[in-house]
Amino acid sequence: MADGYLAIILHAHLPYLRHPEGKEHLEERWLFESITECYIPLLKVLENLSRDGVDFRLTVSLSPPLMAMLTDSVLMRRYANYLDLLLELGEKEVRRTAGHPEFGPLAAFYRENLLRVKKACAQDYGWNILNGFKFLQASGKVELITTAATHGYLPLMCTEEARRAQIGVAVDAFTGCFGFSPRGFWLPECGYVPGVEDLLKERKLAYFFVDAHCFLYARPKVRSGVYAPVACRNKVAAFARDPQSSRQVWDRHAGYPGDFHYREFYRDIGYDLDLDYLRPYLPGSGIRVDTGFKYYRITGEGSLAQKAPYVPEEARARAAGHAGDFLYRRVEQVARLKKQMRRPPLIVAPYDAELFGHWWYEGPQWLEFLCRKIQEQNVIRMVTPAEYLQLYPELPTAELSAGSWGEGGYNLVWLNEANDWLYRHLHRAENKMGELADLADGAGGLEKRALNQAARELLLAQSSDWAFIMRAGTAVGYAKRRFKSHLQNFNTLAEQLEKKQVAEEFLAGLEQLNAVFPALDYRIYSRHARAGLKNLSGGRLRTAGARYRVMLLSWEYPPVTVGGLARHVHDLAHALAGHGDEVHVLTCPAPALGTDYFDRGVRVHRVKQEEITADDFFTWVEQLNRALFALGRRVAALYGPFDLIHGHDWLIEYAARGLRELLRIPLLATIHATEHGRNQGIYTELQRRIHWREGQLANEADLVITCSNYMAEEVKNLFGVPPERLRVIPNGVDPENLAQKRENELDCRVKRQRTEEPLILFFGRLVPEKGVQVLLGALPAVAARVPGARLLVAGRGPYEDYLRGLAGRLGVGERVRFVGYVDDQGRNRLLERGWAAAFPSLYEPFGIVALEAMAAGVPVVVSDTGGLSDIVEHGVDGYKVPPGREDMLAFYLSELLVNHLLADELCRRAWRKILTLYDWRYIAAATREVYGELVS
Amino acid sequence: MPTGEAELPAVYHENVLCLMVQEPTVVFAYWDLSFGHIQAVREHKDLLLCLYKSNQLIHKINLPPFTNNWYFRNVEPGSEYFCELGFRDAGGTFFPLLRSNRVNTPGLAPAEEESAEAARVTVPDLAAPLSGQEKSYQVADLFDALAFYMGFQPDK
Repeated sequence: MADGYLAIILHAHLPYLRHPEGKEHLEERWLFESITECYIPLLKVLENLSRDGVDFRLTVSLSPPLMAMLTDSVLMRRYANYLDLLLELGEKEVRRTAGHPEFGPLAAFYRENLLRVKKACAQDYGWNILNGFKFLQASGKVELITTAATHGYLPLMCTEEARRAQIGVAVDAFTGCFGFSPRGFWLPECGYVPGVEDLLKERKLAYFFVDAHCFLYARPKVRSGVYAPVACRNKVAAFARDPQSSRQVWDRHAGYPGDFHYREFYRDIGYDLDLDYLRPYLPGSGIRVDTGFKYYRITGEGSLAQKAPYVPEEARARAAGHAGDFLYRRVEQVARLKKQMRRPPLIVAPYDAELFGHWWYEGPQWLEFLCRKIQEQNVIRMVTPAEYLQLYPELPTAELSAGSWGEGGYNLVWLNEANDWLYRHLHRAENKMGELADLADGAGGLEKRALNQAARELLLAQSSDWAFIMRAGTAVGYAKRRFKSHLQNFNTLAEQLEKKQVAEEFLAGLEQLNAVFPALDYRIYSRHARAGLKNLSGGRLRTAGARYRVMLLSWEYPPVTVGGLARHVHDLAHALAGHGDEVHVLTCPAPALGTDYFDRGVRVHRVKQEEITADDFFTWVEQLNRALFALGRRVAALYGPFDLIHGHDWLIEYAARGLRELLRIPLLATIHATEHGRNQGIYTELQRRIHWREGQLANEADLVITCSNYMAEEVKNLFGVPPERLRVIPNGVDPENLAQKRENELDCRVKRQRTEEPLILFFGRLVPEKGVQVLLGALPAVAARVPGARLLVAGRGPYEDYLRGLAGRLGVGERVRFVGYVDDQGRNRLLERGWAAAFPSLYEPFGIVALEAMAAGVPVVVSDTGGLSDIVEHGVDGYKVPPGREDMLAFYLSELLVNHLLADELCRRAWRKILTLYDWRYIAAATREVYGELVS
Repeated sequence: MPTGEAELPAVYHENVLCLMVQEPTVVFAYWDLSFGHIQAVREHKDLLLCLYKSNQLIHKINLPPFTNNWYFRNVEPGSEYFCELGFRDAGGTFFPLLRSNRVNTPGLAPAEEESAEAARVTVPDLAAPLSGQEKSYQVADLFDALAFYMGFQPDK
């Protein structure tokens, strides 16, 4: 066994530089130079080592744009031409320098190198360099991994879907190239932000890399520092970069590449020789660029003019020396560390691959010497991260801190005065892409092609290179041009998609021009991808294709409807059936309908009326539960086995728990509201007993669903349910209740034409916690600004008389109409007339009424409390006011009544939100995801 | 086909207020207002940008005209921030028109307590054809099997 391990990671990436449109593009040379000076020399070094039986290990990250370019026939053909031109220049150089004691041999040296590169490309790799990497991976000594699709900088993206797409598209591209899934992931720029590990896990990625300070500031403290990996909460492993070994290679002054014997990058005949001589080999027939013929060494601190000639043999000797030094320091490091650690320390040394050979010409030689020297000793062994994890799978867990390997350690390089303007465009495109993907569920033909191309353009615009280049200040024009053109392409496609007028010629042009990721599927951007759709390509999900046989328990079910529960369970049952599940609803009696019947794909089983006879509430509840339990047993015997029980609220608690025990299947409980919350405390014996039963249900269930973050918090605090057992899934809106169909954009102006007077709506029970008194209190101020304003209060309850009196006392009696209880149709009719709706609740578990108003195109002002807080985004699709603030409620309501432009903007956004987030199909899909967790 | 230099709109007139972390001590906000909100602002007063740490107001900026972004420097590491864009009425009440997302600045203090929990991580085995077959491949064999290599021979 070794005393310590060394994992060297080379990360190879270039932005996507394919320009089929023009003859010559300067930037394509970045790729060509990297192939010639970096990728081929590295491959050759590794092949040499392999051939000589050196037991080295290396991890190579290949970025998807690089993979795409290295397998692109247009680019490779151009590269072949580029090589031929350089070889021609090489011949000329050999002739020109003939007889020169230093330059003569150097020119021949470069020409030989070029010939070797050409031979390798043509004969060894068949003009597909990835073949070289594939071969090395097969040898077991090199582990290939990948990075984000276009090297997008994950911490500065605003949606989870955008991050998921960057990761998912990359994994698919890699798998398409190599035939196996990568096990590790290089976060672009080591940019880590908490939560990324969950997206990596979705694609079965086992490990990733961060910079040292992400470990330093982790919670709890990481005992082994950066010298052992750490497991995230979800068991994805993180490795941290060792600062010491990084500095030795990276540091501009103290690092090895600055050695005076090494080749000087900035002296190139492309800048030194006569233009006429060079012209045939320069792009644009005369733009001076690097040719690779570099005859000088770094020499010293002096100016470029004072450089001495390069001597390859001397440089090679230095590389050997530096490899020895690097190893010596690692051995020293290991000797020091192993005293403090329980297992052999691991040193993780990641570098940009392009440093090796391109900037640091002798880098590949250094690497070869290093691998050979490591072979000759026993203290340190080379390892890949995957191997290390197989040796030591037990890791301490910690929550890592955010960070990157950029200047300052965080986001400064990609977010500063030179590039901050990018994000308003990028974020808008991210959101737009998600929305388009949601709205176009199952698109085909031209629409599908346009969506896929829009996703490609967004990905290309997200490349971290653009922001980096703008900050660095060289080639800024190119970066800006590229960024703007991808974004403009995206915006144009998005607009065409929204108008349902995709211009095929335009689209076809873009498909040809920006032809990256041919297998991309836009649905990866859907916000419902998590809920069952994310098995798009490769990442198979448990719920994918699964059909559940589920027992829904609810004490009320239509047509027996007391509160909102019946409607919820009904809509859920039907949406689940729509997903192909076998749904059995067990519920209260409804003598007219019988005890067992089919209702559009849902099997309804009702207990018999004669089984529940009690007048006393709790006896009644007990009878109901006994009857439900017996019914459940019969249903299970007839239709079973069931996958799970899904119970709703405390009234079925006893039956649900009994059935769970009897059938030995998981129990899922949805808690819609709590007795404590409704009453803002527990005061009576009745309440105490209900509260206790709610607690029983919450704690006995394997998982608990609540409809808002607020309710999750409440259930956690009241019953001590740990967050791991809580899931939040909002209520849905019945699509049939939507005022408009999805095909047409909502027109909010119609409402104001139907009612001449500015009408504010309220729906809800008339109880103090619904806050109608606050609304009445706001009305005088509204009337002061909007003289014709009226309020319509729909609903009844014990508070009604008080509220009527209050309206009179406030002098707004004649502005307010109390219309009593309205059914669904009555509500819809009122919604057609409302200019605005107010839901000023003091307590609100969810707030379905607000969703219904939003679905009907009525702008809403809601209390910033409970579930309402989650539903409305302030100033975007409604307004939120602190509970009880009459002045603020009055301000926003009157603004919506007078500022029609604003009202229309908000309700358009609200309507889109309902369509894309609160459709029952999505809510049921999210629920099935929880089923999947329980059943596995 | 887009050939000339592309230009992007300066703003989209869509309501957004976004807060981003630049560094542990710097957060950056950018915003965009819809025409409806611009109309509301015109009628009321100048714009204010308020920064909150957790829920406590810590900075109130009277925005100069034509600003659409702001850097807040010297904020605290390891804290939660959000901001609001709005205006103050004559009585001094602040009416936010937009509210940003919440961000957490990374902390700069190493934790005191040590990790006690451990987890067992699993590394998937690689797909069968590429494991345990060292040297059994000839490079040439490999090429023949690759569809994406077929049909391309750049040698003149």
